[in-house]
Amino acid sequence: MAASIEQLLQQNSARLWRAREPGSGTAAAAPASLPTGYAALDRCLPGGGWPRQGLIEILSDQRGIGEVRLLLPALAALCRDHDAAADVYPPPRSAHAGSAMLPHERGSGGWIAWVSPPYRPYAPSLAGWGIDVARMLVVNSAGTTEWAMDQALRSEACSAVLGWANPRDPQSLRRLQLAAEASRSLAVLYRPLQAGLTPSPAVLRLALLGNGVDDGLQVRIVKSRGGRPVTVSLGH
Amino acid sequence: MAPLARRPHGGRITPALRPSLEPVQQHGPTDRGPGYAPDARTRPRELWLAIHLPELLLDSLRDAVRALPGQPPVAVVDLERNGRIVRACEARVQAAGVRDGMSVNAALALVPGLHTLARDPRREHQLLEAVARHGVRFTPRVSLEPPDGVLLEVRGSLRLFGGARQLCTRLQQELAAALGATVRFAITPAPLASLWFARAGLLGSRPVFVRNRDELAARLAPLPLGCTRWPQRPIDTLCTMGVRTVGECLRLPRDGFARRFGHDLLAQLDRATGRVQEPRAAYALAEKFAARRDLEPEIGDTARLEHALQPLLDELCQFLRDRGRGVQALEVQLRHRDAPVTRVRLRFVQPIGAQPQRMAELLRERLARLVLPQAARNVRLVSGPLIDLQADAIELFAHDRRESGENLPLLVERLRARLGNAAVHGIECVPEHRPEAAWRAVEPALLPKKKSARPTTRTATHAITPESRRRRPLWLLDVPEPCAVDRLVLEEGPECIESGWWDGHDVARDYYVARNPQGSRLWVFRNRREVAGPRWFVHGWFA
Repeated sequence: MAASIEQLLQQNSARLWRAREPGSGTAAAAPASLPTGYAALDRCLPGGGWPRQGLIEILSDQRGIGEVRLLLPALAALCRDHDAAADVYPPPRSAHAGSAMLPHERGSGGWIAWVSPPYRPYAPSLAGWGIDVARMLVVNSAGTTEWAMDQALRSEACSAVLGWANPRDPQSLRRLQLAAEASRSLAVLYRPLQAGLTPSPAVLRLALLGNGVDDGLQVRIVKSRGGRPVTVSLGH
Repeated sequence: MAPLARRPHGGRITPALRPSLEPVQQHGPTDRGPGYAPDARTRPRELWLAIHLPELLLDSLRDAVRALPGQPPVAVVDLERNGRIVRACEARVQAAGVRDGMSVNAALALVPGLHTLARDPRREHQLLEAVARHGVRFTPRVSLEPPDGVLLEVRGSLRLFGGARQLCTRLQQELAAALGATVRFAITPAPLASLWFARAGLLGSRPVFVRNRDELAARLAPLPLGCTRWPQRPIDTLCTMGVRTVGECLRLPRDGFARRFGHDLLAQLDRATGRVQEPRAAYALAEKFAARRDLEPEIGDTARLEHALQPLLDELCQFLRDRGRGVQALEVQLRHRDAPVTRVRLRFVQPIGAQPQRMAELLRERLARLVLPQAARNVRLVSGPLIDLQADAIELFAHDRRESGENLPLLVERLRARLGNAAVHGIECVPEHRPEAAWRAVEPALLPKKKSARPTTRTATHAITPESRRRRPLWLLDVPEPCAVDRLVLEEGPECIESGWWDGHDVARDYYVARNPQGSRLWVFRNRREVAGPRWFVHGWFA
């Protein structure tokens, strides 16, 4: 019996829910994650970074508090990662302490899809943050954001899919979560803060608040599979 | 003063020795360095078959002539110099005394029942291309010589078709049967000489055949200068000098001829006599796929239409597979009983080969949103021009399809099919000071550029550092919004941007990084120009 449980754990680590355990024993079996680039946030997230399978929800009502910057170190790592894999081996150590990739995670190069962003993603700024703008794909699909995100996730062409929408229909959220679960792309959905009151199948839900004083950002982990709700303060 | 047709080595060299002897005399094998240019005498020998269409104007309008009731005598006319001039006419009209260049009125006086047709350059070119398409069956090297000539390089084909005479007979039969065109042939080692012989048509219906380049000058000698189609002025001048044939022309001194008539004519003589090789542009088959299917009974809903289109798609894929080529655009035309034709255009991001699944998927997406004005009676599938497919190496150990980027075109097509072309784009930095002009939407880069796409390359050349770019907001507003500045705290700035006076979109702004009471950071600017209306605007968010 013990052997069969062990087998189960080995076989289907992605689907299996498990409470977070401190220590590195289970970390190897945990689903692959992508370091956020913020050490304080990494410590609070199960797996030590953004989950690469499953939907991430970021809830925020304010613009300009660093809601996109939160993702930039990870997105930059995805771009850089591809270059490193293509050009040199072994890949050079990246600047971010947390974002050194394991060898099996390389080869995640792909496009970064921005589905229905509220404004224009500004290329010079993205380039300044170390993001390869030639790999951006902007999709303006107001009203059909979920469909476009779903297509982008299923196509396996993107290493990250960011969407701005507020699906009211639990079915479409569920479908999005399934597509995110099946793909290895980073799937992020930005929703208003109000949506945090209704349940969601997302694996990770964060609420963002500006602290109003300086550049800092308060990240409240509303839900994380295998983690505890906690509030992290990030200084930019 | 050396004669034009001077042989380079005085005496005649036997053909068997020629290829090996001459290069050694000219330049030894040792100095075939990078500067070595193949001389006309060292290149592989070619034989050019010229097809001349002496009655192109009439032949191109043969369908129209056949449709005329009662077989009237026909002449083709052209609008020229404020009047209609006869350009070609049938043999029986010619027998009555009508000549090319006559005015229509003079021709009508000679042949009262004459029926005139306007010439149609488009159909003439179509006929020429049709001849070239037949030529492709005989040799891969085909070249057009508008308006009325086609050249085929047939050296390699002679043995296959059983000699020059057999080849000519077969070609003539095919052209006569398929196109009803009157043709004249000539085969020589030089394309221009072939054309001259074919135009001159000296030996009646027997085609001229010159195998050896050394004989060319002697064989060209009796041709009248008219076959060269030189401009009228030099020909007239030559006539007054008593020069009426190519041979007499070749006897003139080279330098004097070039001074008097230009280097171009001298170069033509050199090409015709085979002294200089003439490169020919190859004719490429411009093929398209077109197929139609009648719908019986008529189809009004798009789901059944998709089924009806499937055989056409299969046919198209077979067509592409046979040729090893691809298409980038397709058009589906639906004909109705009373309504105008419904057209559905599909455009692929890349040329695609025989991929029925992908075509059908895109078609389904487009048809699903189509509203038919009426039931469709027949459907036509037309391809855009055929495109050579690019051969890609498949990585042996590639396990992640994202890395190869092969899925992006599919994704872009699928999104565009539903959202429209403009809704899906990539972005690019532009070295420009005005914020709204410092980026632009571009076609998504289908294959990632390894080096050039890195942000560092551009920053190095334009002295823009990543730090200075990080002072730009992540979100940019398309149109700056007026804002009240009294509740904002200006944190950084001003950064003055004054530029663009040359294209009418000049700006003079002081940009600040500002923070609102809720803690959001904005990019605001104050207009430096004294204009009516608000002076402060939000232009971006530091998201």
